[in-house]
Amino acid sequence: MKKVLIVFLLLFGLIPVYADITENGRLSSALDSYKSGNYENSIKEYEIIILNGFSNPYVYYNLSNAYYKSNDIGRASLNIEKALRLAPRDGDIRYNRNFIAKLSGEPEKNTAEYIVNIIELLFSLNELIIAFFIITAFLCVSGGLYFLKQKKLFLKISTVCFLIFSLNASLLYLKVYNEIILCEAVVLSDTQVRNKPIKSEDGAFAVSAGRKVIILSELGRWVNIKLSVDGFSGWIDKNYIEKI
Amino acid sequence: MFELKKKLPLIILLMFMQTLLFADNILSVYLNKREVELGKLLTLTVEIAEDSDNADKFELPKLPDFIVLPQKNYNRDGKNIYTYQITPKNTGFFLIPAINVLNKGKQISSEPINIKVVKYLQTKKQYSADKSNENIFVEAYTDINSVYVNQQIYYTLKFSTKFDLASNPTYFLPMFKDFWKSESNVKSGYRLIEGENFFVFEVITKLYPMRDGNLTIDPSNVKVEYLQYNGGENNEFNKILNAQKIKYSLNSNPVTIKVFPLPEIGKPENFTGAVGKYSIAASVDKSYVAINEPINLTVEIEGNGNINAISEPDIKLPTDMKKYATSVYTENRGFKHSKRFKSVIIPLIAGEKIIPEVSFSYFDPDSKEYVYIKTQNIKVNISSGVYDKNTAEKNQSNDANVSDSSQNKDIGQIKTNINLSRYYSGLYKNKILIFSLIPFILFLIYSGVYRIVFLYINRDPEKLRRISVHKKTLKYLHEAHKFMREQNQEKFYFNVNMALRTFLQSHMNYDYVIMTKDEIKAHLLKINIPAETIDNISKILKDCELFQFSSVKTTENQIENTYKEIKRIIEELGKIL
Repeated sequence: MKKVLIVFLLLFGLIPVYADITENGRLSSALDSYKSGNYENSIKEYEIIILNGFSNPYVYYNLSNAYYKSNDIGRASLNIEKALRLAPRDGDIRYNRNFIAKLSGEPEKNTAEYIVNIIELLFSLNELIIAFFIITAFLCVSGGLYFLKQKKLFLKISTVCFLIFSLNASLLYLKVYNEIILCEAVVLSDTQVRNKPIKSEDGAFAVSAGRKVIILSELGRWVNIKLSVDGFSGWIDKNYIEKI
Repeated sequence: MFELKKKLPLIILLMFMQTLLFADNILSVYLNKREVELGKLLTLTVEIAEDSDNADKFELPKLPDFIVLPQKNYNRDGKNIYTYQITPKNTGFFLIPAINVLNKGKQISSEPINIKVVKYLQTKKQYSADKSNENIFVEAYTDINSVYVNQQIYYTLKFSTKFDLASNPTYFLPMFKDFWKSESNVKSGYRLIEGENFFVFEVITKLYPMRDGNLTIDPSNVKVEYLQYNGGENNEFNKILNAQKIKYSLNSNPVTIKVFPLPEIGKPENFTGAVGKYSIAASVDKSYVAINEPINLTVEIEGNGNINAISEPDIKLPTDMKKYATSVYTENRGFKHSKRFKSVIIPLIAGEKIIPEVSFSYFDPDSKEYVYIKTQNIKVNISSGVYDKNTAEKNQSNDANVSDSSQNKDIGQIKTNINLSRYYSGLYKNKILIFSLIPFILFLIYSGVYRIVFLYINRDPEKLRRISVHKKTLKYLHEAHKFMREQNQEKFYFNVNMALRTFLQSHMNYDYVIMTKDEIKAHLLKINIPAETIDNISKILKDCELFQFSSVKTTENQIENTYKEIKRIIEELGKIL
């Protein structure tokens, strides 16, 4: 019985190790394919890595590059946006994001949007969530100890914690609003945006691949979108966009 | 009075409508036909509000393609009306330009009018009308009735009435199957029809036939509510009050159009189906750039056909230039439309490069021929090395849309050293993380509640003292129970003794711990404790003194009875005190 248990544990213990080895092999293959100009294979390998849950910002970054080299600006933009969400302070990711945004014809942000964008890119959502939990725990402990012991030291710690907590909560709200509540998407290929969700309706304006849009509502295969910078809105076929 | 209240909204609506009509009626220009045979007369009517700055000295702009014969000028309903008989000099498409008048210093312009002049009208123009009632009727017609596939035509739905309307007409256009449909324009106003004043409501829609053959446009429908006056003719107010709303629905007859296929002979290779008259232009935002620096190439096609159907012309770039995503912008400028294709081009090799001509073909329905048009070659100078902003600025005068190009050389290099690890992209969904916060929050709540209770109790020091002493009583009782189980007679009786004394102390402001049992008995008698209870207390205190300090051994049963008795006494005293 003990032997069976050991074999069982070994097998299950080895599965993650095996998986890591496989994914690292796939990563090497993706890099080699990219270097040799086989962007299609590189894209396939990166997509499988992400599907298997091994996603990190640089996988999205490399995938975006591969799509860019294959002339698919829409998916290049989508993946660089995903990378930026995971690692917003990374200089290379920011550079590529700005580069692709220019190619997709995204207008310059106004001052207010520019400032919000700078604040938004200070921390990732995960960082803010972890910080939120740690600061909340500290605030609870220091506040609780102050209530119980009535010592000034705890009051000081609680005040500092509360200030950091307020700042963190504001940044977290901004992040959650922009990344989860707003429901952003990227246009995958050049298309027309219509005034009504009808195919026969004339295009109200054209939108180029890679433009970031905000999803307002959905109706069957139609999605009501708003351009994230200049604010124009209209209906677009669901197949032309993908959520970030 | 009730009747007046009922009809008041109607009166307000009528007054409001009249105000709107007056506001929108400073200048009106009409032409009785849009398609005419060479040599036939047309009537051009210009109506100008009499309070306009140049209402009395209006002069028609020069129309070089027409012979103009001024007719009678007269004033009616506060308007100066100028009529002209005009006749075209040649066949073809002509435009009566916008007519301008000044109103309170502000220039008001009419819309230009397109006229088609043909040698002979091949068939009679489609003109169908529901004229079952001569006071209210609807007409539907097209400006041309024989066209080529994808040629632009105007479909007009015209509703005319002599009646006063209770509300704006509601119109329902047909599906226009076999046609591309562009936006509809709505116009309304008053016009003279056979010497009588009619309210006219027009819906003009641009159509483009998609296939050849005899295509039929289904009937349109107009629904209106007009006012029928029942008496009170001598008094305008009574007339309105007695008016009755009548609902009316009118259908136009179907309109048939003959559509010819586009000729196969002479069709250019790059022809994509554009019909009409077009022009093409191409430009770049800068002609001096460094390698890998983006150039914006704009190709604009302008014309009077179905602009939406025009796709991006093929741009054959040299291999050392790479083209990226194209943005498409469509603009409507009245009778002309334009479509701009804006592409980003990245030069890869230095030197003087040529962006080759961009060509476009369309079919001209007037000349019945295909027309091939193209742009000029565009020369761009690509410098190697780093982008020199000063040189570029010097060489670029029309560079308004250029952003900081130093940030846009090429996409960043890929990352080769990736530490592949699982990355939790949605930590906010992690339940373990959320639940881990609960103990901290509970701790804060507990300490907060504790603090509040503490503050509440602190308001009464006596109560606090009692609670503290009562806690001691419970502690002694707990200890007594423990020693009862261990059969530790000495410690059991000590704890029973202390429990009883501290309990009494918690309820009365006396230090019963240091009193003798006789003192306690005497004191309890003073505060009206029942004699039986006092006796029981004395007995327990006596037993405690006896068994705590002497070597006399008590039984297990006796200890249990003592414990039960002390608990009973404490409960009883709790009720009395």
